[in-house]
Amino acid sequence: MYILRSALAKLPVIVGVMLLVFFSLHLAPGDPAELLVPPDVTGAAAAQAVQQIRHELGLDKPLPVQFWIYVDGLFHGNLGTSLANDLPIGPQIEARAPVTAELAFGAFILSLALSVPIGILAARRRGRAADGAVMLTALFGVSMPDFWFGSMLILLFAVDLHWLPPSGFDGNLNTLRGWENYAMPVVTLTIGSLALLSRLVRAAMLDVINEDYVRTARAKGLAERVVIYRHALRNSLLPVVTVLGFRFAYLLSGAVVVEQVFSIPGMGRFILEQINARDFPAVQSTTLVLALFIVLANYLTDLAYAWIDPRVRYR
Amino acid sequence: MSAAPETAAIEAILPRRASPWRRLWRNPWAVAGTIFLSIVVLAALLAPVISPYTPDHQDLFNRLTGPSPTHVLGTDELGRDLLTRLIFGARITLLLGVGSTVLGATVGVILGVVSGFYGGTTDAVVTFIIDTLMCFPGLLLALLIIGVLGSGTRNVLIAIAIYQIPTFGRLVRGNVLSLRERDYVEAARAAGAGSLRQMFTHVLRNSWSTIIVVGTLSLPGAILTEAALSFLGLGVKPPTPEWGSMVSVGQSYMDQSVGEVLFPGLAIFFTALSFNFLGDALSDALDPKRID
Repeated sequence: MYILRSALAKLPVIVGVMLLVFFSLHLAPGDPAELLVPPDVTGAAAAQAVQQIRHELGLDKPLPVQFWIYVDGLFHGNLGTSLANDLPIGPQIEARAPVTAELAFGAFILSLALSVPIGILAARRRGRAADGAVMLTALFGVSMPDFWFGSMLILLFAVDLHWLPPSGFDGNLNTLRGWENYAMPVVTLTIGSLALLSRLVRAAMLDVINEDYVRTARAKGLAERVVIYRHALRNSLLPVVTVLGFRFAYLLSGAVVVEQVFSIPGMGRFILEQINARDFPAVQSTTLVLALFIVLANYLTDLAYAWIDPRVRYR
Repeated sequence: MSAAPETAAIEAILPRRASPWRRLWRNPWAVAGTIFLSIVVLAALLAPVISPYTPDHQDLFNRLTGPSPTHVLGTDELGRDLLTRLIFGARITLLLGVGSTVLGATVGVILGVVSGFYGGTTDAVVTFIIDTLMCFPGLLLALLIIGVLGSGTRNVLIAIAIYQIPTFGRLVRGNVLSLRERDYVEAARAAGAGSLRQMFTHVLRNSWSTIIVVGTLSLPGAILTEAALSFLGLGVKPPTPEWGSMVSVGQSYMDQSVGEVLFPGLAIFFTALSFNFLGDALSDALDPKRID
């Protein structure tokens, strides 16, 4: 039941995302159809092109009707046609999505798996050298431009040491070579997220560590490891779980930059190509698909939260 | 009517604590951050005076060189002085980072106060807009906006400002909602003084410190996004010197000379780090719950 209820709660946001993406074209000053005419078409040909684009995209119909046609198309899996190459956008996104997903997912798992032990370590040594070192490193990680960090990795591991290839990841993880290509991009994407999550785990752990029930567990004579991982961790994870959806969203958009650094043919590079080609329908659809994935990630976060904290389900 | 007598009474009860400024300067990282930021601000302001060359001056016989007496940080692929371009680059980064945050904060504060004050439909609409915007990570929203408006300095400023609106809108709205319940605000309203303008005064008086802290902590993100957008080729166009685009160009020549990647990257990194140090220290120093 909770699964359904929280899915319904996401509906307004989904509508909001569709509205925002749909109307973004109309937020720009001037006639959207004129924006879409290639700059090398001029004079009478341009005026004709405007008319044609207006008709093709249905821009001559009233706005609510346009929005309805857009949403109706989406439900039939129609993401529109690219202006740049006249191909349907859906399949183009489908071809590139797995690469980006592999990057974001890998970085997500890596940052989660590392941040929990690091955050716990810092919390348990609060105020001491280890804590200070972790917090300082985390602040470094948050402040690091990811594209620069990636370049530095290339410089060290590809240009100087020749251990790893400077680029070449294409989503293939079936060979050793594929994993070698994957290593630097995924580490680059992980760094900021890892830093943020470690800080968060530490803070959450500190909130819990002085609670009565943790003291009781210690007083019972339980081993410190059991106290921390069995008793304290579960409750301290709650505030961490709430941000996981957001973190995944940031990783998806961060992939745009990482794909550019390592020349990876994913959704990020696709968006950039479209922006540079002024192919607005394609930018719209790609953004929409990414945003809907983010809504889905947030929904899964809600479910995970309810699973960890049963109280939520009865609210 | 004002909160002053109340505050005075509370201060009489509580133990004296060091002023926020003194507590701020006790934090060595905050001091280091402030010193570095002062250097960056001065470099940006005095760029034409202190730079050894002009940003477009080409020394074609010395391309992609390392540090030398004539070019302290070396040169780029056109023989332009890296130190000079680094100094001029500070202008764009500060302008876009600080400008977009101030713009986003202003719009956010206005939206937050208006929606919290009026409640009802206004509140519902504003909350809906904010929730929708929050679905998009900053960079993705910026890409959509730049996709519509086109690339360039002004549009990057707008794009980064827009994605910062929700942070401040939410913060201020919550503040207004809790303020509305306070006795003295209610008394002011009962006395016929509950205007929107007064709400602004109350909100700003009560939450300026939070807004400053959140603003300072938003700056690193704004600066990193600005640099990333320029790195992607969507921000400031060459030949204007900008840190992010310098890294992007330098990447192609990394096997010959690392300066054009290394130094601008460090500049972005240290600027963002300094704002983070300062923001963290500010939030500690202004935290009313901390007594030391």
